[in-house]
Amino acid sequence: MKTLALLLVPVAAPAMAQEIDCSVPMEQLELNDCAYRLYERSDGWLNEAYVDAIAATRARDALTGGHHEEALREAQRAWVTYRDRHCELVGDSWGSVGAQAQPMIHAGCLQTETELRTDTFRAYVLREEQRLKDQ
Amino acid sequence: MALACLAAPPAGAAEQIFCRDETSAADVHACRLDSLEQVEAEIRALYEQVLTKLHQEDADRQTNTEAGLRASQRAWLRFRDLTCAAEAEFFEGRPEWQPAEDAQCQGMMAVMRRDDLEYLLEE
Repeated sequence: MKTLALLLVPVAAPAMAQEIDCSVPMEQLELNDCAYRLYERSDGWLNEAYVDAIAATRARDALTGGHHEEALREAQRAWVTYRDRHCELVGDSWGSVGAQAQPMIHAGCLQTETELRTDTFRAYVLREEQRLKDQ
Repeated sequence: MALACLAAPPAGAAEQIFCRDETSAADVHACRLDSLEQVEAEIRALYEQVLTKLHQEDADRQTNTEAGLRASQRAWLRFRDLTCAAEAEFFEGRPEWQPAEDAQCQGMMAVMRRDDLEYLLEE
């Protein structure tokens, strides 16, 4: 389900921009929910960065006749698989310590991986902009 | 500079992946290859440690996280290969830099994986 959201739907950012504070004392169920909302917000930012990166590759392919857009899409599908496998494992192996916190740990892993990936796309777009200026 | 290599601020061995003091493409390649081998050795050691840990936990809890580790490792290899293959296209105009840039991409992907394995070990 997240895969579809990631690949197809550019999430509207403004509605998600309000502060989410998971540090106030609350029950584990609420903490789990809070962690998931933090992840969803980062997924929205990733979608935006990905759309920008795809636009940059498309512009580049138009100039060079290359196939970078398809290569980037393929790499992104492979990333989604890696994120899911790794974070599933992070959640599963946490179970021995405190099963109730497992959804929170899983969501935290998704968020970490998603933020790293977002940085990659943002850097990528900056690089492409620089390349166009240099030409 | 390669796509994957711009991601997170690198630390430790990762800093050497850039090999900024070197000048020729061949020197940069050799330098980055050294760093890459270093990180990959760390990954191999970590992977074995995580495998041992999960194996023990699986025996105690009747779970199968060991299979999960193998699946995530396969997924990472595919992600790395596709990412660095996508990167390669950027250096078609400068073939002499291709090996050095590929070593950097592989190195930065390895650093990310090392961090993820470290998390699993400390978790």
